[in-house]
Amino acid sequence: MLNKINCREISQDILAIVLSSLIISLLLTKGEELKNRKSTATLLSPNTTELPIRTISSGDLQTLLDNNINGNKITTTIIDTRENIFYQLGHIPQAINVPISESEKFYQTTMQTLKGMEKIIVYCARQSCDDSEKMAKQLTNMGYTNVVVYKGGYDAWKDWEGSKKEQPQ
Amino acid sequence: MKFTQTINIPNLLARILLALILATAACAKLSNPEGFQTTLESFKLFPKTTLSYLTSFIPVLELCTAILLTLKNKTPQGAILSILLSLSFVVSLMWGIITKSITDCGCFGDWELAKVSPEAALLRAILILALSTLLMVQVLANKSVNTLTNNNT
Repeated sequence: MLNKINCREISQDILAIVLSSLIISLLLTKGEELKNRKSTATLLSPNTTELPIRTISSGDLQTLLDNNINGNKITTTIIDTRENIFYQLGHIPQAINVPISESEKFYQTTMQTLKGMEKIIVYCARQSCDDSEKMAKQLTNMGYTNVVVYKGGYDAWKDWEGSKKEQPQ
Repeated sequence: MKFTQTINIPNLLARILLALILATAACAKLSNPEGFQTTLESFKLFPKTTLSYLTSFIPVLELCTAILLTLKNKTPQGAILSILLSLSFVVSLMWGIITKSITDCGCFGDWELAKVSPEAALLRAILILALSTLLMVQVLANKSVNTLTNNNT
């Protein structure tokens, strides 16, 4: 009898948890959809058409890094959109860290440094991360037309460096 | 009737460890829902219309399971949900490996310190499943002892 009551109680609790999670997820999804609609409306004014975001390969990125310092002038800025702790653990050479959570502050304080750049490259952790695309869209909407996304992110860069070491010289 | 309560340390450690793992995984997924949705899409296991709901449902369920595991009276419920969750991860990862459709587990999202291969992620999920099962076995064993004690007194 004791076991029967416990089983019933346990299964009722599990059902309640699953249903509650379902309801919370429905609310979260609807909330996210509403938020996305609002932020898209804010970023895009009626007169602005959304430009496609260009991407760059590992080989092209390597070439840009090798040629970056043109005389005394740096021509390419690489932005790492991950949180600082991950940036400290490792990043693409010459990259600066602007976590997506702090991008507003960056836009207000250091935008002057980007104005003279021939190219602005944005990346995050890996293919599935879209913070780099978000920042690229924000920069494009601010008028920068030289923004590209390194889609594979830091993971792809590590694989690229690994494959370079394996190749015979 | 004498009542003595002893702390079952292995049980407590298993509960805390599982709760931490599930809570971390849930927070990692909730911090980057778009990334998690992309990973779910790459599994090619779920219909596209359900992806946005699964993106929230799975981490919320993980979080609730973690909370249940921290409550001593709700350990059986937490253990069962943990078993169901880790079993579903094991099955999904096996499907992803067999169909070669995934390169990234997405279990801990951007919070993974190093890239984990799908095979390593599968091994990790199996270990979590084993731990959850052990916890459930412990809970059932304790309940049997309690039932016997109640019958004898």
